[in-house]
Amino acid sequence: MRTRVWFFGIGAAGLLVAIAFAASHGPVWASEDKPADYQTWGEDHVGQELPEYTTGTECLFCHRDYVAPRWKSNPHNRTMRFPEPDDPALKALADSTDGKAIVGEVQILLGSKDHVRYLKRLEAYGEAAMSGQLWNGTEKQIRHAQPPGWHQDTFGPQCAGCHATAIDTETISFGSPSLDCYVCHGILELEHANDNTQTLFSPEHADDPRVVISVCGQCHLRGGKSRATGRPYPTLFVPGDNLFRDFDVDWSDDTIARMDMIDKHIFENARAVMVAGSKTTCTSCHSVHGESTKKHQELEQDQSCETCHRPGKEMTDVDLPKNRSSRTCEYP
Amino acid sequence: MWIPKWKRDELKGVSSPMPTQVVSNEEFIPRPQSKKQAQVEKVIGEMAEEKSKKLGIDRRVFMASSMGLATCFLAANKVYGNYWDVDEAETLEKAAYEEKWPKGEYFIIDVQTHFADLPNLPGGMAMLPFRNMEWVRNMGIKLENNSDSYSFQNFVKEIFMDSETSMCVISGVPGREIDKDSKGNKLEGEKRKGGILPSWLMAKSRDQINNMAGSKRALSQGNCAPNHYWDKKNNKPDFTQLFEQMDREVKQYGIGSWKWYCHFDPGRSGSGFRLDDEKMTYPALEHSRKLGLKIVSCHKGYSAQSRTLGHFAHPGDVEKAALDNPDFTWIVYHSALKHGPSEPEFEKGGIFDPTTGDLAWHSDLMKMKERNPQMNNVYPEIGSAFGTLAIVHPEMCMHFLGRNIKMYGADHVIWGTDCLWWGSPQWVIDAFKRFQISDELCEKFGYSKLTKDDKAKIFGLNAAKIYGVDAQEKRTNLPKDALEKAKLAYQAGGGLPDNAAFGWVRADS
Repeated sequence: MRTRVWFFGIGAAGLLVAIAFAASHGPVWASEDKPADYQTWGEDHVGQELPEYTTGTECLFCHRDYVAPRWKSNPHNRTMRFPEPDDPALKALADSTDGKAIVGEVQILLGSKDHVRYLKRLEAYGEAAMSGQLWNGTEKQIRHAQPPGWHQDTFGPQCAGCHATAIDTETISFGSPSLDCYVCHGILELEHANDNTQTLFSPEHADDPRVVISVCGQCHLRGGKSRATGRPYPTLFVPGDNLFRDFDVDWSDDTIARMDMIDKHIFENARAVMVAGSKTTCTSCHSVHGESTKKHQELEQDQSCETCHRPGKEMTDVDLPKNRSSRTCEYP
Repeated sequence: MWIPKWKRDELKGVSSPMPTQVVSNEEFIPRPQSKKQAQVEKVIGEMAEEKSKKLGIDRRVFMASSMGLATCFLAANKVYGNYWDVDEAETLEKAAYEEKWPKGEYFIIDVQTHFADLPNLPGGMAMLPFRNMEWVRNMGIKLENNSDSYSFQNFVKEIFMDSETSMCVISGVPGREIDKDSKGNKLEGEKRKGGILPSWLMAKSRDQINNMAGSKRALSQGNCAPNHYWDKKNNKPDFTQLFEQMDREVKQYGIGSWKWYCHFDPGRSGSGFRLDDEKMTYPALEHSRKLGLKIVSCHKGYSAQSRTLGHFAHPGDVEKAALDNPDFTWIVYHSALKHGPSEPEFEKGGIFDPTTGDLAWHSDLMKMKERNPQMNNVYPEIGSAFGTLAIVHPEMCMHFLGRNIKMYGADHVIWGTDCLWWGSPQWVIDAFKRFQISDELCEKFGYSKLTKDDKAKIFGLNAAKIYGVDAQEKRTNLPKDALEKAKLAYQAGGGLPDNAAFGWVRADS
């Protein structure tokens, strides 16, 4: 009997400590709790050959009613883009002192309208050189992430994984510029038109929350590193894989606390799914093809809303950080 | 949200053999119906109601007849002005139409026809009821219980039963054939994967049509293009695989032409390709030359469907390729028209210049001929472009056709429709028969009036020359073939066109 009381006492004290710890350090699934299996479930493709996949132009032949009209302007399709001659980023480079010499060689723009790097294709397959200059659209001026001129070893090892499709691990080359359908939907047979239950992210497919986080996290968990290559993007990730078998992510409280609100939101949600078994994934709120977050308005309001919506302010008053750089690849 | 045009018409109770708004062929984004188009649709409805009552026939039957189609053009004249050659009598007497437009007057080869080998194709082709009709069962085609066979059957019906088309070219939809399985074993025929309308399927369907007809009614194209098989190590085409597939398509599939889409990249080369690329495209041309196939049909213009490589659809690469390879025939699909006239870019301006008649990208194709009058191996094809311009803005259509003929000659303009996406091509055929360029534009821009001789060349005689078809022999013998007999039986049995356009329109229009 005394032993049982002793155990009870220890247990109660432990529970109180845990509650107190959680109250002062955040949710109970904080990083101090070792995850059960988030790094070990499922498969990965590290060390394998790049798989065959259907390219986006073929996909859009059928998916023209909803996807095609929107996809051209979707940010996921514009991670790399062929510039129009009157693009302000090109004009600014042409007008800059050290940009004149290279502007004629620019073939591709990288990034959003507010933060643009310049690329030219190299002779080797799927390789590109990146300019040291960048266009800061918010300040409307050319700045420098690296010394002016072309840098051959920047784009492939640093940026390609999240700005291009199908990166070959050995040659660090890409298969398609920007993000093709394959990046999220993986390998699909044409027969999926008959049976969509095997198609990732289709309405008929019951997506495993861990798979969703893996797919979105391959690019949006910024700061992670591939264990296989040490690069800031995963190695041969194929949708359906467990991203975390290869991709090492630091989502400790201390690290998250230093992040801006967007990264904080992403990391906290990813951790909640992978570690604590939450079912609320990115696609619970974000519609990628619709470029909409309308669904998140249907969520019950709780403390997590305060990541973006500040107390005492209008719900629409969200001061999102602008001109975000790729913090693992360039200067902050 | 887009919906198929036929579905929208069904919901709105519209039955018109001529689309009353621009129907997208999937290569551009459909725009809302304009006020004038809505007015045409309304006048068509009112006139059809009145005339069918007067004749004592069902409205749907009336609209499916030549009188219904004539009514559409008359209605368009009332709204846009007198652009179409149509008499009031044609709307009330079938004989008046037959007298004015004698059957078989034109030999028609449609070089741009598609069907899709896709189960559950959005648009519900599988729901088409004709599959149960007696005449189809009597044609000896086994109707399998899947929608791709329906779509092919429908192709035969729309092209050959419901229109005056004499011959068709089954035109490619870009896709690379996967020639090996995961163990490296070679695959052939249906076992080959890849592509929506692969070359082997086009060839098989062509043979099905020709066997059924007992004569050559269909030709087919081959999809294989210079960037379909890529040597990533050396970052250049894998010429071994490319040539092997080219051999297969020419020798085994018996294709009549290549169908290239420079802005597609099914081989994951990382980019599109240019027709004038000496390192990439010219070796493929040389190999094709050795194989004896010297016709390249290339999609130009209408690039909205491309994810990132739409700029490769510009015709700027045609000039050098054609001049460097004068023994090749270059058919430029859509005449390189960049945008349909009701696309947002068009409304913003800068796409059409009424003072010069310039249409974006199309004018670049025109200017290259102006620079090179000796360049006689380039042929502008008018699929989709003629139809959309005719519906939306006949004046632009006059510039489009007028300039094509002025620059390249009536003996170089090629007939294509891009059907099935437009339903039966008959309304496009009727539109072209009736189309004329105004005196004012002829005088101001130096265009010529369209003669029957011009139309005969454009409808089929030009394509016949290119594809080596003896038009005279065909005109004599096609009426005797099994397909023509089936068509007569179909019409005698009351078979009617569906008046169903399979392209896409906005749900809110």
